[in-house]
Amino acid sequence: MTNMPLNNEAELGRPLRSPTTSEDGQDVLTSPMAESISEIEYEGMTRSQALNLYTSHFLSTWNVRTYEFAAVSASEGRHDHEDADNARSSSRLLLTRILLLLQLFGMSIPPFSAFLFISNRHFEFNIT
Amino acid sequence: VILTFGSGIVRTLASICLSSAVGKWVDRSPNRLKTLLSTISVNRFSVISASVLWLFIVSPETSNGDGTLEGHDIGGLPISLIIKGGIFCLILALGILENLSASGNLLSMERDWVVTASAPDGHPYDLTHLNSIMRRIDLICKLIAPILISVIVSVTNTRTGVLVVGSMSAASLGFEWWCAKRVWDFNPQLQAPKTVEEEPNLGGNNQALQPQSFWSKTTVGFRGYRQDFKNYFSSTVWIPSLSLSFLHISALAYSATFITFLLNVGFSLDLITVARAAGSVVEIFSTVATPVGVHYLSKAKNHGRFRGQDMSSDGSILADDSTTVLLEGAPEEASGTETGLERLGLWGISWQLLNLVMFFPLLNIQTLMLTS
Repeated sequence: MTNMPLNNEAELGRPLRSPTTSEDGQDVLTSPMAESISEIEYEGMTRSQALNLYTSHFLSTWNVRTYEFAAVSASEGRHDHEDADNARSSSRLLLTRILLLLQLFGMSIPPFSAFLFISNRHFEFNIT
Repeated sequence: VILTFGSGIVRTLASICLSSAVGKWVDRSPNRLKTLLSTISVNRFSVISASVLWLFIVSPETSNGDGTLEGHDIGGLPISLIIKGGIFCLILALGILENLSASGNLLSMERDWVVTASAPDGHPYDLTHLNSIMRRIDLICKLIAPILISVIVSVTNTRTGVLVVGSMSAASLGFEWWCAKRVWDFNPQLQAPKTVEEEPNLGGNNQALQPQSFWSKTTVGFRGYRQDFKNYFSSTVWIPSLSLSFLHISALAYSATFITFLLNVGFSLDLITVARAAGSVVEIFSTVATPVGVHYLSKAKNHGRFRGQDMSSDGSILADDSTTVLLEGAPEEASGTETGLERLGLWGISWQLLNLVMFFPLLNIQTLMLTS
């Protein structure tokens, strides 16, 4: 499972495949070293590479997500107790209505877009 | 309130205007490692600086600290107000930078690194496998990160929350850098410089334009944007891609703007976190449920339509269809998968409509019209 530099493929890989060292060769072929050689042969990805990739991606998304939420709660933390006045409640009502309308509009989009998508692919949409 | 709404709008507008440029840069730069590492560094730099600036704005004494700050504002201390406004603008600029670098990072990782480094189809770490794991990692972060931050903020105070975010970013930078470097070191496909087709053509244009004025450069830039739009709408995938982006029109998506709104309406941060977490759980569940559901529903045979052909009469029609050349060997399986997708999608849409009908009696009429 360990990573092998490409240079070692030429050094180790070829003697293993020679018919004279077949017995030794089979022993080594089942070892992790040989596994990594065969993985490198098709230029794919090894397990440790994938783990490193996942870790890097995890740290990126984790930091982005935490900052996103922390920024919102930090900017809003200052206004928590300000919401009591009546003057604001009317504007809040208006905003709620706008949100509701937006939500209705947004909810009507997916069926419409799905219809667009399906009609583009020459499907017929049977509701049965 | 207006300030936070305004900043949200400015951030979104900036990302609309500039993210295509970031995408172009990710596409064109030949060294993949350099691209990814620079997006990571810019992102961390902006997060850490913004966190430090937040520490100045958020009052240290109480958990909310509104009284003192708002009192100063109303009392008319212009200097502190100007300083605070300046810091807020700086945070806004850093937020834009953070947003852009995050999208650049996502593009570089998901659209470039994963695609290039993945093994061929059928091998253990092929593109499908890597994509699904990447998506799951993203969703899990989306689930856990807000819960953690909101727990920290409610147990301690906003200041500590900001401090934790900043220090986590600083601590993870080195390790993240090292991980990316290790992947690159052992993968010859990633190391190979990217071949850029349009490069020589554009290079020639740029050379010709260099002595010209700033205005001609901007007009060329705008023309480039227009050309991008033309390219987008001339491709066959524009309808599905546009319809996918419409999904985010729904105000129910827990974006920063929506959370700001909910907080201002009077919902508590804890309640919003719980609601958001529930949404994320459903999202993660769907990554498991969808393949299972599609597989199960694909067993339905001899009904529906597949690529314009009626499936109810005879399956052998598929063999004559020229569009199925791509699906050689397994036309049955592919048609089954598409049937499964079709039926699962239909269920999803019907379910959404039913949910709406429960809450909004007005829509009853609309639904009746649709189903009749």
